[in-house]
Formats: sequence, C-alpha cells, structure tokens
Amino acid sequence: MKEFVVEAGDRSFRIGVGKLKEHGPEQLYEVVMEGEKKLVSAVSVSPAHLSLLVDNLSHNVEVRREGEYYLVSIEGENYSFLVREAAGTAPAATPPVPTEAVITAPMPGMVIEVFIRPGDKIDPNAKLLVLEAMKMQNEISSPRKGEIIRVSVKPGDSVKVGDELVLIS
Amino acid sequence: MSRISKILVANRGEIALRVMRACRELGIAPVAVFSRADRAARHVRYADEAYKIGPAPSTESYLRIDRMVGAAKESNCQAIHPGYGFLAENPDFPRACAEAGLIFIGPSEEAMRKVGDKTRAKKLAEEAGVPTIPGTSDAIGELFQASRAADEVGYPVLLKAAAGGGGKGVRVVSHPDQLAPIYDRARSEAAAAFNNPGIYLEKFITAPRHIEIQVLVESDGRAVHLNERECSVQRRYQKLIEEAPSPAVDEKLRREMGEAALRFARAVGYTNAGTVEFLLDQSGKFYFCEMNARLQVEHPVTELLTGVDIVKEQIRIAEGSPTSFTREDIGSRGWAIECRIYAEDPLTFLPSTGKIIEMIEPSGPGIRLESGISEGEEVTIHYDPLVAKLAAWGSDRQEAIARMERALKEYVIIGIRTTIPFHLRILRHPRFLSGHYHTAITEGLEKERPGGRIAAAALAAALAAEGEQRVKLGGSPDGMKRWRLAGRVDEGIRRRSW
Repeated sequence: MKEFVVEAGDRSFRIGVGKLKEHGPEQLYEVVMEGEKKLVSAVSVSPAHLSLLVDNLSHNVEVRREGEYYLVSIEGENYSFLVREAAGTAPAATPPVPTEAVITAPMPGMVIEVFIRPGDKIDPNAKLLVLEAMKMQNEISSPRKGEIIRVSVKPGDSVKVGDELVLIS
Repeated sequence: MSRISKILVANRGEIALRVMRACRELGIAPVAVFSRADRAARHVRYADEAYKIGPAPSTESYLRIDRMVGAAKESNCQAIHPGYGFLAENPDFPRACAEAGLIFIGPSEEAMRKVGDKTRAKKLAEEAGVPTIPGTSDAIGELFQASRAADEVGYPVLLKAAAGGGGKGVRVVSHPDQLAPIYDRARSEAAAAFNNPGIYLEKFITAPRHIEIQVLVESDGRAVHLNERECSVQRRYQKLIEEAPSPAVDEKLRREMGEAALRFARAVGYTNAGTVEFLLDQSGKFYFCEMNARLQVEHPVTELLTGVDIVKEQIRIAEGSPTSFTREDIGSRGWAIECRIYAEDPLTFLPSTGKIIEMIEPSGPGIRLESGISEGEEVTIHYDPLVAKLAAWGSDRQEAIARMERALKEYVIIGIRTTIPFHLRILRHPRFLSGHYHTAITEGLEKERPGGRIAAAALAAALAAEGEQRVKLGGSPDGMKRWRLAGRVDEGIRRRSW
C-alpha cells in the first residue's frame, strides 16, 4: 500500500492506496483514509471523468493534472491539490523562503490593457491589467505588494488560467 | 404576404439552433454563418448551408452587418433572423436588410430606435399611461436639482450615469445627508468611465421583483400578450433562472401588466415579438423598465406554458401572415422554469473555457434542453458564456422544480465549469421554494463556500496520483523558488452590451 499526503490550502489528508484487482474497466482499491478503511471501485468514464464507488457511495469526479496540481471538481466544488508520497515523510528540510512571486491569470482571456511596467512599485490591490473573455472585461489586481520585475504579457495576448502575467519581487 | 423559403440565421450557439429548428418545422431551409473559431460548431453542422463571415472576434464577424447581408444575398435567402445578442437590437441591421430587399424578422428600424433610447422610451411609456419609476426625465447637472428631485420622489433614490448601462455607474442614496458626497462621486466616476458626467435620479425600488410580459404584434398592428415571466433570480443584472407564471402575479395584476405592455408596444409602433420589462415593488405596484426589441433567452418558459411556438410566430408575422392563434386560444397550463447554463465557475462566476471532453444531456418527462455545444467542441473566450438553456415543465410549481433539480443532476459537462451547481443551490433555497423572493436572492448564496465533498475529491486526487506513478516528492517542481499567486479579480466588471 502506497501512502500519499494530499493538500489543498490548510486542509491535508493522509490517504493509503492499495490496488486489489481489475475487472475490465473497473479498478478495485483498498483505501485507508485518515485511518479509516474503505473499498473503492473506480472507473475512468472519459479521460477526465472518474466514477467512484466509495463503500458503494457514488461520486462523479472530474480530475485534471495541471503542472504540479491535481484539479478536482466534484458537484460544483473545485479544489487544487498538491499530492506527495508520504514514504519519506517530511519534504526536504525547511525549504528556502521564496522572495519572488509569479502572479498568474485567475481566468482565461485576452489582455486588453496593461497598467504597469517593470520597476513599478505596487501595493496589494494595485490594478495590473484588464482581461476580457466572453463579453466580460475584468480588472486584475495584485494579491500582494512588491516591485515589478517582468511583465509577461502585452495587449492582444491570450492567456489561460495559471499563465504567468507578472513577476514581482 | 411574401412566402419565406430560406432564412439566414445571423447568430451562433444555442439560439442559432433554436431558430433553425423552427425553420425546419416550417419547411424553411436554414442557413448558418460562422467565424473562423466556429467551423466545427454545432449550428454550422445543423444548417443546410453555412457561410464564413470573418475571424474569431465578434467585431469582425458576428457584428458585421455587411457580411450578414452579403451572406444572405449570396445564399438567396429572403429573410434574416437575428436571434438575440450580437446585432439583434442594432437598428442599422433592419435598415440594411430593407435596403438589400431582405425581410428582417423583428421590429422595424423606427420602433427599435424608439425603445433602444431608454430616456425616450420612458417618456413614451408615460405618454401611453404606463406607470414608470418616478424620477428626473433629463440628466441633471447641479446638486440642488438632485436634492429637489430626491425630495420629490422620496428616499431611497438611485443615481444612474446617463451613459451607463448593465448596472455600471449606479449608486443608492438612502438618506438626504449622503446625497452630496455620493452625487459628487457618481458625477466624477461617470465623467471618467463614460466621458459624460450626466446623472439621472430616480426612486430606488427596494427588493423588487423583475417581471416581464411577452408580446406579439402582427404586421397590421393586432397585438396579443402571452402573460408574464418572473426573472428575479439574477446576479449582477445577469439573469440565471426564470419561471412562469410568476408566484407574485394574480389574474388581476396579470391583466393590468399585459394591457400596459400592449399599450406601450402600440405607442412605439412595435411589430413582431418583444418583451416589456417591469419592476414589481413589495406593495404590488409595477413600473416600466424597458422594452427588449427581440426574442428573449427565456422565451421557452412561455412556450411551455402556452403551447405557442414564439419563433415560428415571429416568422409568420414577418411574412405578413396572421399568427396561428388568438388571445382567446391562449391557455396557461402548469408551471415552467428555465436555468441558464453559463460557462462560468459556479462559485466565482469567472469565465471558463476549454474543450468539452464528455457531455451527458438530461432528458425524460417535462424536460426541454437547448444547447449549442457538443462533445469535442471548444468553448472559447470570444463569445457569450451562455452555452445552453434547460427548461422544465410540471403540472405545478413543485413538480417543475423537482424535474429541474433532477435534470440538473443528470446534466454532465466535463471540460469546462458551468453554473449548474449554483442553480441546484438556488432551487433548494427556502426563499426560492416559498416563491417569496426578489432580485437580491443570489447575494447571500454567492458568499457561501460549500466544502462538503473535499474528502472524496482528495481521494480522487490520490487515486490519480497512484495511477500516474510519477508524483514528485515535496510538491513544487521549481523548488519553491517562487510563490505562485493568482491575480485578484476586481468587482469592477464591465459587460459588453452586444
């Protein structure tokens, strides 16, 4: 049985997964979730749609991988999880505290206007740019303060969720 | 009378399909138009012929009157149906059609101009004896004018940018002491945002319901109305759920509102299908808001209740034929609800794009679905987020709600996020269930962040990781050299009006 630590924000789950067998498309697992044993039947209905029966309780879940994140949607609740194996327990000793931050696109869209330039000092909520998608124009602002190191987009560019917009110190 | 045998549908997505279905039932050949982004779209495959009208941005394709008229002439269509959105309420479109010898399925250019100018429409409503919201009839330029007008109509009052729209540039003043500072701010904001500091003042209707009347006017001026629709479930002026009949309207009020709507339609010389929107206050008084010179997104609820196919009647009227029914034929049976399925995150309402990987459409008793998307299709950033409208009919309100809830749960769309989970939360909301609700019903719901399924979601992530066998120890691949933070989306949202 492999043990994983699954984290989203301040929530963390310790989940042990042991594969029992396969019946055609059905994968059967023994799962230990926070110390509780469960029998899980999983079927991949389409590349992103996982049908789960957890002790016969049915869940339809959408799972996509985006970089290091697992994006999971279940009945309208959306989560991005970081998953690591618990084997070595803690990750490498106290990682260095990062000093730079990449501000990413919170929505897809086309860049209409950019308000900032490298060297600008910005406060939290400083307006960075305008993104337009599906007839909606949204002003995107900074989640924290810093100095602009790099502006990675220009008007006319299309961005996806998670694309780098700005690098700040 | 001029028999129509071929119609160009100047639109895309679910509404293009809706209009084409009416064409098919009448034995009329439907012709589609498409932008470069839409070659694979469902409406293109459904039509008999399809014409490319330009690149992906609407301003270069679906908003180009010349391309629409050109495609209609090239394909030998006699008529154009504009659907809703895009060019549907642009009075230059019916004019261009007339000049090209094409029938525009909708009102005349003149009627469209009259109802499109909100100030003029309000004056016309007053002249026709239709109740309007008390307020200034012209833009005000001085504080003392605002103060006098506010005293006349009574607080709370609303300050609206003369050049604003869609809820932008609107402020509420609930007490005389607040008037001066809010007025100054509203003026400078209006000047900055719209290049026009003009402000209108009107009475603020507290906790109103949004109720509208569907009208159909034949080319000889004979007019009927098809009762009301309740559209109070909105979020930032975007409608989410509509129902008919309205739980707040009785037979007497229905007659009064219907007659007021018809008086207005006659006053502006309206023809074809249109909708007169009203606000209903808590004392049961109603006020004219505006007339929408087009088919409405929520027309299916009226069709389910009355049995009238509004799009087919639009085509008949445009041909110069009488409608297939009279006011006496119009019954109202049971209850109908519509949910607008938007490609938006159900919690943040941010646009969601992507490829539809899997789709299971609801069906079964009492369910009607109009969808513009199909598996394998890409939902892009270029167009309106409305991807489908789901309607449910029941013998009473309770059955209609139960059917809608059942259908929403059946509906699977994978690849994009949709508002389906938000609709389910509204349908279970005690105030919605009671029928006693108004336009603020979504405000409390938006703040709630349900989290009941996180354990099952985490399990799915663990199973996916186990399957992939390539989980990196310690998470972030660039060794946490940088934080990754999503940009904030501000409240200041502009919605384009086309």
